[in-house]
Amino acid sequence: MKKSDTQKIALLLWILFSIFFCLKSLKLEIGRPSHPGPGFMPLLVGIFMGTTSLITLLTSIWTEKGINNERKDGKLFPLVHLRKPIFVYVAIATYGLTLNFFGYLISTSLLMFFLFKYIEPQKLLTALIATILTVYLSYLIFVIWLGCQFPTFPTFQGL
Amino acid sequence: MDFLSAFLSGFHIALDPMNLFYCFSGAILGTLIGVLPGLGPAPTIALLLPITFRLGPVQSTIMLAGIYYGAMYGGSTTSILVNIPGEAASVVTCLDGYEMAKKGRAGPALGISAFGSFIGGTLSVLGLMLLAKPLAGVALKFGPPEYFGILCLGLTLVIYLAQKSILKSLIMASFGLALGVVGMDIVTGDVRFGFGIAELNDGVGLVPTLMGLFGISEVILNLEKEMRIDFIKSKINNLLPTLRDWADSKMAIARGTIIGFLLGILPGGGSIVASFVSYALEKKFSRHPEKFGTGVIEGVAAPETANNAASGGAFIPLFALGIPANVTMALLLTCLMIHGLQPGPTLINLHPDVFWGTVGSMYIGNIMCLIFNLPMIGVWVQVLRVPYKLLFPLIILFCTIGAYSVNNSTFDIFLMLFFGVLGYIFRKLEFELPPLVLAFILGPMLETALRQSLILSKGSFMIFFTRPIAGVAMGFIFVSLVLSAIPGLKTLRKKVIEEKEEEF
Repeated sequence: MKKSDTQKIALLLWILFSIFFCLKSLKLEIGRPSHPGPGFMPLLVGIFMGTTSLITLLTSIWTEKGINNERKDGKLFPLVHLRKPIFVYVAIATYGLTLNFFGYLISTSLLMFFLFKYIEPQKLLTALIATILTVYLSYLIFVIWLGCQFPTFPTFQGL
Repeated sequence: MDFLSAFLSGFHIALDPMNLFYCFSGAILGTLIGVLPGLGPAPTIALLLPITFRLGPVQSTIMLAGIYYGAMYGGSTTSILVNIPGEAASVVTCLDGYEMAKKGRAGPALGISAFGSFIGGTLSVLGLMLLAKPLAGVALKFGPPEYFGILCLGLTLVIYLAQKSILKSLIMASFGLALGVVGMDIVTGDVRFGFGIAELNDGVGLVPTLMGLFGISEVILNLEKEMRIDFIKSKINNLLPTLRDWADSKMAIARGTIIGFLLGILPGGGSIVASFVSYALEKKFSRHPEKFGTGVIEGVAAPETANNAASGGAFIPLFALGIPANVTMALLLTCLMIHGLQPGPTLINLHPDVFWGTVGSMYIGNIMCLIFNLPMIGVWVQVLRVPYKLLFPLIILFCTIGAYSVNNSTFDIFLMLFFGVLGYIFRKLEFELPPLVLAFILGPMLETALRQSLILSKGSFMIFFTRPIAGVAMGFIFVSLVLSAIPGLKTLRKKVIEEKEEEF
C-alpha cells in the first residue's frame, strides 16, 4: 500500500472519530452560548476536528502529492521489523496483568530478564546479572528510599 | 518585600544544604537525560512527579527546574559526538557540531556549547527575575477572555511552528483538546467520555500519556531499526574555545540569548523552536552562509545558547500568569498544584520562597551544569558508550514505574501502552506530537476560560475581540493563520523543512 493511501485511510479514520465524538457530545447537555453545558466544548472540538480532517483529506486527494513525502520508499509499517516491538509490547502488557498477582519483585524480574535477553541476544549469565542488579537497585530507589507503593510480595488476588 | 531583599532571600533559600542537594540532583539528572537519547526532560519530569509528593514545593520546583535546564546542556554532547540529538532542542546542533567533531574539533564544539548555554541560561534567569513580577502585576487585570486569547495564541503558535503539515498539526491539537475533556465536568459533575471506566472519571492521566507518547513510542521506533552509533573516535581535548572561536561566536551567543528568551516566553514557543530560529537567523546574518552545515562554530553556539535562554524564559508565563509555555512547564504547574499552590499572578506575592528560591537555584544550577559539561565531559562520554541493549530495558522499566506509581494502578500501565502505540502510529504518519500534548494540557484551562467568558458576555463571542488584550491575541492568531495560507510563504516554509530533512 502506498504511503499516500495510508495517509488517506488515517484521515478517514479521523473523520469517523470526529463524528463519533460529536454524537457522544450531543448526549451531554450542550446548553446555550450564554450558559454552555458540559457538551458545548466537546461538540465544538469534534466539529473542528472533523472539518480539519475533511479539508486535509480533500487537499491530499486534489494535489495527489499529498502531505507525505513521496520520495521516501518502503512500507510504513513493515511487519518483519515489528516483530521485536510487538514482543516487547506484549511483555509490558503481561507485566501489567501480573504485577498485582505476583508482586513487584517477581514480575519485574521476569520482565527485565526477558528484555535483557530478547532485545539483543546476550549470554544467560549477563542477562541474569543485569536483571538482578536492575531489580535490586530499582527496589532500593523507588520502594525503600522514595516510598513508592508497589505490591512488594507475591499476592494471589485473582484466586 | 523589596527587590534586593527578595533576591537575597532567594539565594539564602537556594544555598540551604538540602535545596543545594536537590538542585545538584536535578542538574545532574537533567544533564544525563539530555545526553541519553530516548528520554527527554518532559517524560523524566513526568516520571519523577510522584517522587516530589514527598518533598516541599520549593525543593520539588528546584529539582524539576534543574532537570529542565540540565537537559538543555546535556543534549549537545550526543549531538556533537554521535550525530544523534540527545533531546529535541539539540537537533540543529548536529548539523555543525558533528562536522566539527569529524574535523577533530569536538573539544571546542563542546566548550562553546557549554559556555553559550551558561550565558544564555544565566541571562534568561536575569530576565525572569526582572520581568516576572511586573508581568504578574499586569496579569492581575486579566479576565477569562484574556486567558482564552493567550491560550489560543499559544496553541496557534505551536501549530504554526510545526515542522511538517499545519493541517495535520491542527488535527493533533484538536485531538489533544478532545483528550482534555475526558473526565468529570467541573461545573456540573457529569462524567464525559468515561465509557464506564472509573479510572477515567478524573480524566486521562498526564504521566501515562507522556510516558506512552514519548517513551514507549520512541522505544518501538528504535527497536524497529538497528541503531548505528558512529562515535567520534578521536580524543576530546582543548575544551576551552580559542580567542578566534569566541570572536566568531560572540554575536551568535548574543542573538541566541535574545531570540531564545523571547521565544521561550511565548506559549507554544520553547527551546526547540528557539534553536531552529536562532540557527536560521545566524545563517542569514553570516558573511559565509554556505559554510553552515560544514562545521562552523556559530552553528553550534547559536542554537545551544537559544535553547538554554528559552528554558529560562519559559518560567515567566508559568510564574506570572499560571500558563505553561510548553509541556515541561505544564508538568511543573502540575507539581505546584499538587503542593496546594495556585499558579497565577498571585503566586509570587503569596509564595515568594518558591519563586525566589527557584530563581536563586537556577543561577547556582547553571554554574553546576557548566562544571558537569566541561571538566566532567569524560563521564558523559563513557555513559554514551553504554550499549543500547542495556539502556532500552531500563527506559522501559522507568516508563512503567512512572506510569504505575502515580495512582498505584495497573490501568495506567495499559493507558501508557495505548498511547505508546498511538504515538508510534502518529510518528510514522508524520502527525506531530507537541500540538497534541500542549492542547491536552491547556484544554481544560481553555474550556474554563471559554465558558466563563461566554457567561460574562451573555453568549456573545465578540467579547474575545472587543477586550483589548484578547483582541490583540486574536489578531496575532488571524495573522499566523493567514501567513500559513499565503502560497509564497507556504512554498518557502516547505522548502526550509525539506532542506532540513535532506540535511538529516
